[in-house]
Amino acid sequence: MAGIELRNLNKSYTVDGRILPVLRDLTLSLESGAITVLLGKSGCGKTTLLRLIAGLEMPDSGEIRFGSNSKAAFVFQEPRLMPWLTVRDNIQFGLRRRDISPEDTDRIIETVGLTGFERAYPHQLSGGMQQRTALARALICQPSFILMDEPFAALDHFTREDMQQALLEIREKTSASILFVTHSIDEALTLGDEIVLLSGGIAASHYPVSLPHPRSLYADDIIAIRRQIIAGLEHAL
Amino acid sequence: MHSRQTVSAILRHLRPLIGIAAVFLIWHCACTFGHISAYVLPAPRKVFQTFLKMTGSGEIMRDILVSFGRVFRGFGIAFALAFLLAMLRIAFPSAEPFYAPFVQFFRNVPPISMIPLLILWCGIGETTKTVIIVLAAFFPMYLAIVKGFTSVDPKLLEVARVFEYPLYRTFLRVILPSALPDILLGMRTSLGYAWRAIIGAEMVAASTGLGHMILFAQQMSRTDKVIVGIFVIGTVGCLTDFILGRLIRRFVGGRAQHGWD
Repeated sequence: MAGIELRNLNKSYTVDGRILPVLRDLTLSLESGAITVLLGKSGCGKTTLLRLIAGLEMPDSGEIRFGSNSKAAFVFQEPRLMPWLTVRDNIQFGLRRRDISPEDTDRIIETVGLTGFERAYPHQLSGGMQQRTALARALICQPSFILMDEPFAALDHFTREDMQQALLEIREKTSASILFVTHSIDEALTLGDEIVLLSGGIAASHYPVSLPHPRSLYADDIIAIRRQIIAGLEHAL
Repeated sequence: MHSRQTVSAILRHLRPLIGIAAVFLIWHCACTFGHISAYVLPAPRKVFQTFLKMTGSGEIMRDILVSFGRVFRGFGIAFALAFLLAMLRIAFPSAEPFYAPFVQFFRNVPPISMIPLLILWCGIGETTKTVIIVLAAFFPMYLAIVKGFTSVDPKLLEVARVFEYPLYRTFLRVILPSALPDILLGMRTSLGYAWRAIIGAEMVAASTGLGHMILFAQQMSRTDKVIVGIFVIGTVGCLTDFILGRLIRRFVGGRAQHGWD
């Protein structure tokens, strides 16, 4: 079942009087309940696509159609936490007062491994903990779709692995669909149920990864898909 | 090791007191051995006695309360005006060029220089003094509030958009808290300006207040009372600044070490 349908999306920016097309007639169907990874080189339009889906920007033309009861949440590349709010208040930022349940908040805090830091302010947290808070802020709204824009890009190798693991566990518990943007092939192979290669403003190739988690990046199947992706990237150049 | 740290901590806290004590000692010596006339510079002991006498009679407290009332009335009006106009500036940025020259012009005009005109227009009643304080306190606050509102991180505003915040909620939960350190800093600066202005105003157009007390003492050749007035003004100013500073720390300082990131 399709979670989000993108049809003939076009988006361009004007830079120094020149029109710079970023997305050209992009058509893509994002499966419900799956982790779809958007992969591509820097500047290929991954973030733009995410921002269009989130409604932060408007497409020049085309259509974005959400499935029934779709509720999207966004996890940005930077945590973007409110510096004046504690971890708990930041997590509850997207909720209305009447919707706030202390038990739900505690459960989410436990899920992302921030128990004991509820009253800390963002500047008192490490980068990984800040990103976990941002993830919890998205999760507490019980979204059916989570849009993630290179959320682990600024993290070190081990924190990134922990966060990837946490994300997979969260997906198991919530069965939310995830659209994950990255430029790391390894991250795409670790997380994705489907990898979409974005190039030249279109979805150039699709790579289904129907392997169970956790995945070894040294498994033969994964290495074979990695070769295909690298070939696809080279071909796209 | 521990006792050495304790001693150095005590010395660190004592340094301002040592400085003050040194000034009083020099002052005392100058009056005792320097053959300076008591009219030009009365001894610290005499000034202290005068202070006690004025405190006992209630004279000082009456003048403090009068000046205090004037400062806070003018400061309150200046804050309300600065906040409203800053909001207008944010809501209608295209209107700014129309009034920006006036803001720049009056920002550079000392409110004291307006006193003759204000006496002419508003008389020597409370209105003139209030207007002088408003003029003195308005501009630092207005500029700080505008700066606070215009420098809200657009990335945080995007977070509010993602969570489908309506405008009023975005203002209350993102824009206002984000601008708060600048607003509070502007208020603190303006409070100092308001104190300076009220003393000037009371020296020219008043029959009560600390400014009037100093001027009257000078006319009566009571230099000791003049010095008492100066000390009281400085102390009250420092005290109000300290209280506002504590409030700022309560709102801002507890949430990050040096303001918000």
